[in-house]
Amino acid sequence: MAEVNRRDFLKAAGVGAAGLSVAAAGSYWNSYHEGQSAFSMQGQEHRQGHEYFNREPFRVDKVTPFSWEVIGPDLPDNHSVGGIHRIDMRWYYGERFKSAGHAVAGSNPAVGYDLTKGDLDCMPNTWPSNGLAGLSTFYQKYYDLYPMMVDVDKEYKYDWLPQLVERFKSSIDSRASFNANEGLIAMARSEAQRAVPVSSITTPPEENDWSGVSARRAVFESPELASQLIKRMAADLGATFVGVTPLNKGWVAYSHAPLGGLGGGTGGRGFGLNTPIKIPEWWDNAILVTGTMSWDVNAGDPNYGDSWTGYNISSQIAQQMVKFLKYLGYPARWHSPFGGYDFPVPGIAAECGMGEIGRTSNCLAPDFGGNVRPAVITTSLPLAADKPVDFNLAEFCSRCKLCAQVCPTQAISYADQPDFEIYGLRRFCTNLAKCRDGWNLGAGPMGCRACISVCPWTKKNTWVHRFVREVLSHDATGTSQNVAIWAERTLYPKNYADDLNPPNYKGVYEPPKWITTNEYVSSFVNTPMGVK
Amino acid sequence: MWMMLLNVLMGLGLAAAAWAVYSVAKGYGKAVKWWHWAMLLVAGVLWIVGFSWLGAQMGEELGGMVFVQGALFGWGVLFILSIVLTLITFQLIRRQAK
Repeated sequence: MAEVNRRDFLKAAGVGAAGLSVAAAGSYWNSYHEGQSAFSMQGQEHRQGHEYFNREPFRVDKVTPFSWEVIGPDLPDNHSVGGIHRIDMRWYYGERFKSAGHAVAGSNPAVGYDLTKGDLDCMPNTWPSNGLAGLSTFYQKYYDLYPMMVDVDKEYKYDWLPQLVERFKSSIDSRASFNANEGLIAMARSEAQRAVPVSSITTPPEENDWSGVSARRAVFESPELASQLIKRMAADLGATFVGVTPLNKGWVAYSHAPLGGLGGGTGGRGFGLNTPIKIPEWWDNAILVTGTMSWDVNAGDPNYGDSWTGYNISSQIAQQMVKFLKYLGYPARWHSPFGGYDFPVPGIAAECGMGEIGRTSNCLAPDFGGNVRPAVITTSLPLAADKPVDFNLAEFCSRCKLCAQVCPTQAISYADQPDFEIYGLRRFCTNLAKCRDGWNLGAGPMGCRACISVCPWTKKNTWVHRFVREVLSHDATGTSQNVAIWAERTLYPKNYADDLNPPNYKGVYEPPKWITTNEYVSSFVNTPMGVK
Repeated sequence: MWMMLLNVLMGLGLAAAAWAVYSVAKGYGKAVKWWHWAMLLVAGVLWIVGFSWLGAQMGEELGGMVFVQGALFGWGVLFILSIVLTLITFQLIRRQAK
């Protein structure tokens, strides 16, 4: 047997070790660079139409049953379309519970709750001895239609809300202290995000949608080419995702209401309040555009991040797209966070293939998770529609439940499968009233978004996460989902539920240093107003 | 440009490691068969992917390095697999019949 002398052996071993070290260092550094790069974050790097997740292999003809399965029945008087109940916004939590409201950051915190108005709620301060018959006729009908809401609302009104209000009031000082000190930069950032407003719509479609429409209409070669242009244009304006679908009229609200969200704050977007909405003939297609929130800041939610970043992006794009379409001779109308909506968006987002509706009742995208803030443009421009996607979210969401666990007010369902029936849909039960109250309980910029931060799909688009997204989307056995969820729970520590509430005010993850006040500010003095 | 040079260096590094294996095996009069090369290739890929995993996760720096545990765990699994596969391959080369 041949032998290798010590010198040759050491030479070969040295060369081999050096080679492996160089390979290791190189691969580490390459990926470290990707991990740190803004180009792997969920933001405007997509703005030239780049997408990190190829949806085409996952296209399906129909929205999956997981994403709000339509179960009907149809309601009379044009109150439903295809089994989907058009939402009368007096049904919404803001209208049902008028004694509670958004304690918007910067306003008097006590404005959040006024239990002296409790008898204005859908349920009076004391549950009537004759049961539902003791409620107003309107809410008797509501609870007849949606009997599962009776127990949800009773538990909220009589058990949960009084305790929450006590907790809210006893934490006013600590919240103010957080906002003035540790959360100061987060608050200032939030104010800056809101500094440039986007217009609201205050006139009816007959007026608004046609205002400024060119008298000379551009006729496209084909709906496919029109879609192609629309998508390129929206991407050019900064949209992270653009999808097209025929507008499902079932999603259009039946009416707006003053405290009912959607178009309430804009006086009903020209439709008026508590007035049945007549759906315009020209609302043929819906173009959905999305913006994302700052990824690293929102990791520190609910007490550091904000929604305005995403709101700004999608609202501006929607408004700009309306201008674009009108210039080409087509009526158009934006439905956006700052402009108000005439419909809830998740169903449309699922239909145009943005993603699937998850446990949180938001549409989750395979490439952004919950980090999407959508806006929609309705128009008569003939467009080729996108198909929905099935990226296996049902397998994941049914197992994960991290959003339910992390939720500061425990507003999210723990059920394995969608088990709640409302508005003609089978879906997960999300207690939106509790969710709103979680916004009030937190410090920092308004809102919470903890469920978005914790969602394992809300990750940077490094190769690691892109690879995992692909595996999870292709694996119908549930094996990879189990491994991924185990890893997420075990290897990536996070804060849950009450850790996020007063007096702790932690983020789901620690906020990035750049949003933390004590990284920059040493002390405070009185501002020498008008002097320097 | 630095990234491109780094990639070239990584390739040269792996080539050097392959040369080392071949050189030592030849010195002992052992042949390195194609399946040995295949196994070493897999080990090399695991080596690269492991360190790449480590870098990608550490680079995210989310919330006070919350990814450290996940980064080390993934790297550890891939690193150990790579080493074990390399040792098995060495043994197969060493013990093969003349």
